[in-house]
Amino acid sequence: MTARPRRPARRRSDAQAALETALVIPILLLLVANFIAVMLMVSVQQQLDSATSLAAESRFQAAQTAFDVHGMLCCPDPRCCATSTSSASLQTGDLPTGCRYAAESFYGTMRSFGSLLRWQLQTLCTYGGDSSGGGSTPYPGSPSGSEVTCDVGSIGSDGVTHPGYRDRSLDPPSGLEVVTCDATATLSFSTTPLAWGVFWSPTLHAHSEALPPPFRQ
Amino acid sequence: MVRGGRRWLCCRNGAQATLEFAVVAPLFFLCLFGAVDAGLWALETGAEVAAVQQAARDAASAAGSPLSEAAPNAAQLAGDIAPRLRQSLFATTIVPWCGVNAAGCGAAACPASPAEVQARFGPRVVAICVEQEAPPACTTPPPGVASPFPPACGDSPIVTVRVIGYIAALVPPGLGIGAQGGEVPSDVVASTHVLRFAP
Repeated sequence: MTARPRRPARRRSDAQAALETALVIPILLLLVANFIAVMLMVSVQQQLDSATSLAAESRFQAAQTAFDVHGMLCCPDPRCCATSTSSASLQTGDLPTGCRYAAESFYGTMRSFGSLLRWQLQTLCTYGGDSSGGGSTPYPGSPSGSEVTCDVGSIGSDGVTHPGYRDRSLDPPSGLEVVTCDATATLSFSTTPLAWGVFWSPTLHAHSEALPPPFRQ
Repeated sequence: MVRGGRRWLCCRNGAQATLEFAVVAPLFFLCLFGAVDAGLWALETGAEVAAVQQAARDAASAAGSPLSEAAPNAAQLAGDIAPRLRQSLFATTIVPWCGVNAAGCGAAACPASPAEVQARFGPRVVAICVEQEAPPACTTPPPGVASPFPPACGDSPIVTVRVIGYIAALVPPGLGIGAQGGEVPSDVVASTHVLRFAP
């Protein structure tokens, strides 16, 4: 009498344990996969911040009056320099040399995680942006298929001045002229082993500003 | 009968629990170590990114004079950023990458892959290397520049700092990530133009 009801109880307990395991393990794996994805996202964001930061700073290694000769290409990015006739090459001829420096620093630094990123392509070289809402204007002939966009000022050999980006939050209300570089990309896990459990694709954006050093002011 | 049945039931339950543990434990530890390792990897990669960025800035202005063409010294840069990296790269050795046949430690060609570092220094070692790429020769003068043209049309070299090798991790051997167990490959790069006091 006492043993009879125990049998179904044990079976039910076996089934319950199996069911609990079957429920918990996928959830646990899903949590770990998403945790790894977040860690990956943090690392890519750091790399993106570093690349845009170096890009903005390296603009000042060229003089404000320096312009690239006609037909010049962006190097050392393999996409730009593999072949001079490649349609994907970034042509920087007739643009401020600082723009090419910024692109070279960006591409030279952003070599990792390339297969995970889908870039929002933008105009490489612009001028005249304003933090109070004024939009930037592309330099004539600036390539539009760039993964980074930089707003830089310049003084042409004909004396024409293109203002840089005016940040009104610095020394308000007139603001200070700075160099800005921006890059935006979507991180896609679809080509990684995490694709089975990570169903989100974050859009990462990096914005960097650099003030001219004293010898450039 | 009831007593014997209870004992059998108790032992069977014990065996079942052991079996369940044997099935669940590897998965549980895989998840646990996977999560810990992912966090550790993100921390180490973040430290490497910050270090190479700082090293690239240092290398860009490391020449003795504004007109100097001397390449930055990998050993000096390694000495500069190694203390910071040591705080984050647990159980990983940090070495400068100098040319194999070079007497000093100037800019040497960086290793092509982490495996090259491992072949030279052993497991769980990252090397700090510096490359300086000279700009192309000046064939067409820049607009507004009269003859004689400045070297490389006034273009400044590009300096690249790289931290490359295998960092220590909780990866078990045979997983195929590192050349040996307990390591994952790492290759972090930063490039920038060398500072020149051009007019």
